[in-house]
Amino acid sequence: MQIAKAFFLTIKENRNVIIIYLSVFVVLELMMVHNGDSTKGALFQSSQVSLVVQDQDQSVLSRGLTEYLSGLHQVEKKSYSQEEIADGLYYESIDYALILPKGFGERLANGEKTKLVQNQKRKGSTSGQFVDIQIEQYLALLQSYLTAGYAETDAVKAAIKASQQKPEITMLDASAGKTGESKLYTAFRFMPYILICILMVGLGSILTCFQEKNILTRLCCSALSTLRRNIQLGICSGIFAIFAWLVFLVVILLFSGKEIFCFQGCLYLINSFCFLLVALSLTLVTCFLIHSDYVLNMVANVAGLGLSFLGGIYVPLEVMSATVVKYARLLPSYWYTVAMEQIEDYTGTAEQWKTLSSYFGIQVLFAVAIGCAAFAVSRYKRR
Amino acid sequence: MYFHLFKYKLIQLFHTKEIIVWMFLFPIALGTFFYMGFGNLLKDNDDFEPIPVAVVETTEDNQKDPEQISAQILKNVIKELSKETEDQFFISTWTKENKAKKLLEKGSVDGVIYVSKKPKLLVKENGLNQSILNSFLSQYLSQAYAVEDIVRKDPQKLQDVVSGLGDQAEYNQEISQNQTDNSCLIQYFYALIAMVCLYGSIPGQMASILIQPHLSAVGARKNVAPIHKMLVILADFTACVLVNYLSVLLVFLYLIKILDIDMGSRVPQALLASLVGSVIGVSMGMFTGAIGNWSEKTKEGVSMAVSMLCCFLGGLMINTMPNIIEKHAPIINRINPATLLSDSFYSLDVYRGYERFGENLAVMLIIAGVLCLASYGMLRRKTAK
Repeated sequence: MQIAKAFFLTIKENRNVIIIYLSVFVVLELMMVHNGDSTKGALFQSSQVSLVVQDQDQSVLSRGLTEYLSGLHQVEKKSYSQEEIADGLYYESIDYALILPKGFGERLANGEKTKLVQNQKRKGSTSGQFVDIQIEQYLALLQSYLTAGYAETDAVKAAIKASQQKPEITMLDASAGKTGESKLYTAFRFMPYILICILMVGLGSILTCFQEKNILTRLCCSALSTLRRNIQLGICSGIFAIFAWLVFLVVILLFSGKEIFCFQGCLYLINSFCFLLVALSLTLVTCFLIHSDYVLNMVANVAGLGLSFLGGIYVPLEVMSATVVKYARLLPSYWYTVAMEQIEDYTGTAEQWKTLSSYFGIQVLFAVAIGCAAFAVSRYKRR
Repeated sequence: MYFHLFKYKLIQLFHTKEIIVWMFLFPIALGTFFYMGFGNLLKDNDDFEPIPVAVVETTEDNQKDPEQISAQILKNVIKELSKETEDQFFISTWTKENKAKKLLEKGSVDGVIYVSKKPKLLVKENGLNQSILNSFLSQYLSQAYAVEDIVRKDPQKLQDVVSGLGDQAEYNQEISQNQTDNSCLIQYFYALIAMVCLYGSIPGQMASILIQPHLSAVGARKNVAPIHKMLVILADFTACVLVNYLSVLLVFLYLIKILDIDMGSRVPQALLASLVGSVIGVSMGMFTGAIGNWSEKTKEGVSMAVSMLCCFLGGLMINTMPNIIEKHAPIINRINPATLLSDSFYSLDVYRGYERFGENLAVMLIIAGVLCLASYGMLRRKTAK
């Protein structure tokens, strides 16, 4: 097992680099996991947003609107400059800024229906759009009461009471009512990017040593066949990959605690192991083609980020266009993501288990296919 | 002599084809992946898809019962909104409760509306369409309550109130101070440009290693040549900045012309910030290449790890990361070159003035200056021993 011995000696020589990369990715994983927020949040339930109201009118009706919004959200009434609002929106310390210009109350009482108030919110903010709907609805009701001859104070009270009418809502399945994903989902969500990068840069820096022209030529002249050499390299790479995987599992264990010790936790482990095989195969094929550490780093970022974005890890699949989702099925990260969602909703039915197994199987097939391509490239290069 | 050194450094850089090709190719590939992932969210998309909904009638048609009348009105509203027109809101399926539940389980509909005295909504999951259904029913119930309330006190006002509610109203006007119409997802592209600038550390480090006599044969030859080291370092430095800046220009061209990303009207200012970013990237590479007596591989690892960490904290993987860092450790945002760069682009987008842009540029120039001076200070002392 000369190749294996050389492999581990090379690891020993380059241990500083490997430790640096492992440390950086552990920090990245910790930060991603700690701050990973789900975009499939509680859209359905009205969530409080941080609102700034600039009341330049100071009339009964403007104060009524502020009172209505205070009942639903966290409202700050202090004066903000335009730059402070822009900063607040950018750094998400405020979600919505409402400006009630002078003359608002008078214009509303006169029956005007356009551009009575102004707002600023982050582009594409769903919570901002809901606040828009709430304001439109309230002002429509308020104007109805004013048209019916109600005094301003009475109209405000009546409009607030009317806007509190809500339908009865039931969830089909009790478990579907949960808001946000579990800790385990958040913890395992970013694994594909981490695994691809750590294997490509960490393991890749070892494998590129074996691709150096002189060393490769000497290996080709040796009595060791390409197949046996690649098998030894594959096994050693597998050991390195499992070691790296275990390091990140320890991080996840620290984050999620005992939650991982359940059947769902096992499923997450199996899913991440399947993707580990994919990442390993990708690393092997990349290292057989690329011999520079700088280029490996760039390819690692392109592959890691590309697969993560297109596979629905950083951007949910629901918000991607249908065409992109259709082609994303050709990527192993897509199957990782759908398996994650299936595990999150797993209730133990045979049909769910069958679907989940197929997702695991597809990832393993990807790994096998890419691995075969890696060995084919190695054989071709030998010629 | 300077131009001679500069010219041959450029030739040398372009001869390292693998690295140069990837330096130019990687941001284009990454930009394309970003665009494919969320390109349709960057622009205003007013296309609204009608919501599939199942409707279950739980009342009998009884014109005499006022509460039944209310349910009848809701039924008519849903039918009206289900008509195949430009403003179609629902794709409604009128059926019995069991079948409606099956449709919901299969995912054929997003919700089940029970048309009755008190409308109910049955949903399977939290989602945007479910929230819209909730808002629709809330709005209907609020308006119905208001009409009943008003009519109870003064029945003659019914006509005025109903026609008032039926009028098209747009009370709320959105104002934007932004120079562009971009969504917050543009942050990913800002972070990408920052990453391209910081990847100038690759040629910077290569140049640094080729100056040091104990790390390369070329370095040994340069050390015995009768040229002031400052000239050598300057020539190598400017050549690396030029090559890196070319890749930044290519990225800008690709994003603006091919992907049609709106980078605002202040592109020259953005290019100036990118130039300073390239200087920081190259000087970072020279600095990591010059520190200590580590091996070349270790220095490469340190350089790549620092670049990656800076880019992550600058929002390349999670676009809200700078906001999170700002809440917990704002000092990191003040010194992280990737965050300073993406913040410069943001300030050009949002603010009319140049104060914030100027501040960021000044900090970046200070960082670049410190790194350059430190690199020169270390490199000039390197000997073959």
